[in-house]
Amino acid sequence: MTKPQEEYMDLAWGLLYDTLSPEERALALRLAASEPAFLEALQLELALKKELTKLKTPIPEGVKLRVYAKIRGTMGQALYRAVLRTVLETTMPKMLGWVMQIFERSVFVSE
Amino acid sequence: MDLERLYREHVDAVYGYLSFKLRDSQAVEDLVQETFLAAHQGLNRLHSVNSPKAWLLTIAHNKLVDFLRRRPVHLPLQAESLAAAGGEAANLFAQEILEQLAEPERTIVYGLYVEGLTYRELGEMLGIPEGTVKSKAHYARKYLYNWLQGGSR
Repeated sequence: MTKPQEEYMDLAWGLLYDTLSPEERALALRLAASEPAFLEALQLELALKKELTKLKTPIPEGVKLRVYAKIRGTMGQALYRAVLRTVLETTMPKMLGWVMQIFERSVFVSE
Repeated sequence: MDLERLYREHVDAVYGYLSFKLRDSQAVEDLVQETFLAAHQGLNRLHSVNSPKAWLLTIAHNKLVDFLRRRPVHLPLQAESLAAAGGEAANLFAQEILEQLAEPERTIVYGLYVEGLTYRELGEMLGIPEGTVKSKAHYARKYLYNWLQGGSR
């Protein structure tokens, strides 16, 4: 077999993964019908795609739900901290700022 | 696009990529979480990206690099990784294909064929020039073409 040219590899991959422009797609289809080296590249790309897509690893449903709950929890905590800080900063006298720092260290950092 | 939709549509790709690179399922879970939290913080940048999946995989890759810097671990071959995760026998040939390659060619081939990422997206994800991705992909493909035709199966 003749070694497929690099452009053929890219064109064949693009055809299989639908990333070609209309002109490139037309060229690829024309080559598939008339150029044995391109057809060979297309067959090899198809073989690689067929085998390698088997490696897709979907996240298990339980893990998916657990991770999303953790993300929401972390986002909720961050929001709570931001709101609490704003409320305390606007309602507490300035001189009590150090109390808030101690409060944050003891409550938030060590939680 | 909000975080919930982003998560629903692309968590499989992020999880799949991280599982491909790491055998530690707890670390994978933590990195998926870190990836989506970082994405949430940068959600306003989403409108300027062409592919949300490629953007998320770039974040996931950067999180992985940070993780490995903090806690260097052996990066397993795909076969080891999948075997540890209970990979199916049907995937053995696919694992064998990737085992023919070294890094970063292996990750490039994974990105091209498993996730359908373009050279540009892979370049952004891995932090290397698009032209480098292209030449490494060509090298890897030629190798795999020869290997496929060599009757190694």
